[in-house]
Amino acid sequence: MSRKPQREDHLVIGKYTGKIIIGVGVLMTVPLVTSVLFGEWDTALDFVISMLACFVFGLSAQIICRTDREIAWSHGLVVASGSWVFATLLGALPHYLSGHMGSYLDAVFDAISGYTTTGLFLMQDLDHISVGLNMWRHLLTYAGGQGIVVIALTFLFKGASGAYTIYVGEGKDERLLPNVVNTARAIWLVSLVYLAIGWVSLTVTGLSLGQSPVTAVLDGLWMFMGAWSTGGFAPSSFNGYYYHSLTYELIAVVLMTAGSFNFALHWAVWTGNRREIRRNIEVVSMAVTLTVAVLTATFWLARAGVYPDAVSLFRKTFYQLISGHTTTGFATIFSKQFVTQWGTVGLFVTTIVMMLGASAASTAGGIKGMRVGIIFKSLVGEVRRMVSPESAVVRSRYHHIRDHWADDGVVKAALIITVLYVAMYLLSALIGVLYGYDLPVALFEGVSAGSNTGLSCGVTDPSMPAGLKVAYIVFMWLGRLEFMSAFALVGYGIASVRGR
Amino acid sequence: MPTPVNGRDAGVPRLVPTKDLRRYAAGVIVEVTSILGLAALAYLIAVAAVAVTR
Repeated sequence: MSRKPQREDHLVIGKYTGKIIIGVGVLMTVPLVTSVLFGEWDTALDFVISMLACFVFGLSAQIICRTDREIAWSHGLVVASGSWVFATLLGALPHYLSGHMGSYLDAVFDAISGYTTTGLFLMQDLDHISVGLNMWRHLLTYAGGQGIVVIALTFLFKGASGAYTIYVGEGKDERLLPNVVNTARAIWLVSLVYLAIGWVSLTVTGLSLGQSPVTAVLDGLWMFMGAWSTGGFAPSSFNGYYYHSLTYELIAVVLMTAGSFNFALHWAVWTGNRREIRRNIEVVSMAVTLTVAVLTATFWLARAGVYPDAVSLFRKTFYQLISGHTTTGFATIFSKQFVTQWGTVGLFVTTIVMMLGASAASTAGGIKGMRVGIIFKSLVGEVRRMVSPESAVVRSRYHHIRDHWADDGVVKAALIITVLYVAMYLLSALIGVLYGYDLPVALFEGVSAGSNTGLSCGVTDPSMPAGLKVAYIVFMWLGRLEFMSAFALVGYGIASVRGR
Repeated sequence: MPTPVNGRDAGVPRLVPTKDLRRYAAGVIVEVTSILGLAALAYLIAVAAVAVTR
């Protein structure tokens, strides 16, 4: 029987959750200022109301839950998963108040899709929403990619010793620098440098394509946020297809791939360890699986004669596959074309790369290259053990920043999370099939939600069944938090009721 | 001179920050070049696929 949480436990969790929700309210200042600058007074009012809701919630939690007790490991996991729930419910307010959502459930769907960097959306008439709301959509996905907790750690915690537990609870477990707050700041440094490079490159390309200066600047910023956070939101309903530009596509490819790298990898390469990019298990794993996927899909689509020449074939195949593998969700083909043009093999390959995902401790989702690499190394190690003499000691090793032994504990941890992901993918497919969708389509869309990718083959739509919307909301949340902190929240709830 | 990777305690890699901005710039160039290398490989695969299937 679990230990029943005491009053002090509730107070600690309430206090830190309140801090993070205040952070969400502060974040709304950006779209509020944007709305005011563009004279969108209705939208500005929506953000004022939403900010007030966040501040009332956050400050009330702080006042009610006043305590000096330090945050413990179990608290951190519950705070991370719980604050994501409240941040979503309150972050959905501007969507709902805009009048572009069919229901509050749809608004919650879009908000969690943003936070989890998924990119699926139910917003209606996307091409005519206000600049302020578009800013909020993309800021949500950027904040979600950075990690709401990372943002709160940077600005609100000021060196709290227990903050590391909340940081880990959000699915990031790399400590780049001894202090977790400095780690959060290092993550910001990497992101802001890429923001400068990506934003300028996309803006200049947009101008060269004939966009007005304001549109080029805004689209450049939003496409950067969608790419870097591997979120996949774009300001146009045509997504990446809208720009019809190879340069724009290549810049997006660079940004989404860089965004899908482990922050520890960035930090290693940036601090002089350049060989790391060729040796790191996550990069090697992704390069191998991506190459196999590109080979399979390219030859399949070439044989089917879908695209007229090598350039078109490369642009369409590579873009969708790297978008899927990095779990970004940008697309340069329409949703239905995955079914009507890419066919069974195309759908299957894209589904597999979405399942695998990119790097741990990045903005990406999915099983992650680290786990795929460790499981593969362990498999090879088992085969070597079988063919070696009984007295031989066979150990598997992998490289991530430094060499590590793939001991049983490491392999077990990788396998547990992988099994959970696969179970979630299968469950999502089953639910889709129960709602009447074909298996390949249901699997594709369910994997897209659970791996936080956002590519769609047409299932995600405002008219889809409410039960499927709820299921995808849960899968997006579970996939982003990598299960454990979500389970900790459920366990905390059960222990509160039934514990001793 | 400290190595780029010097932390080994608790199994958590810790990397030494630097104020040498040229190192950061070189790091970005290495990353961008590697990604474009992958794109170039995908283009070659597309050329081969078109050549083989027609």
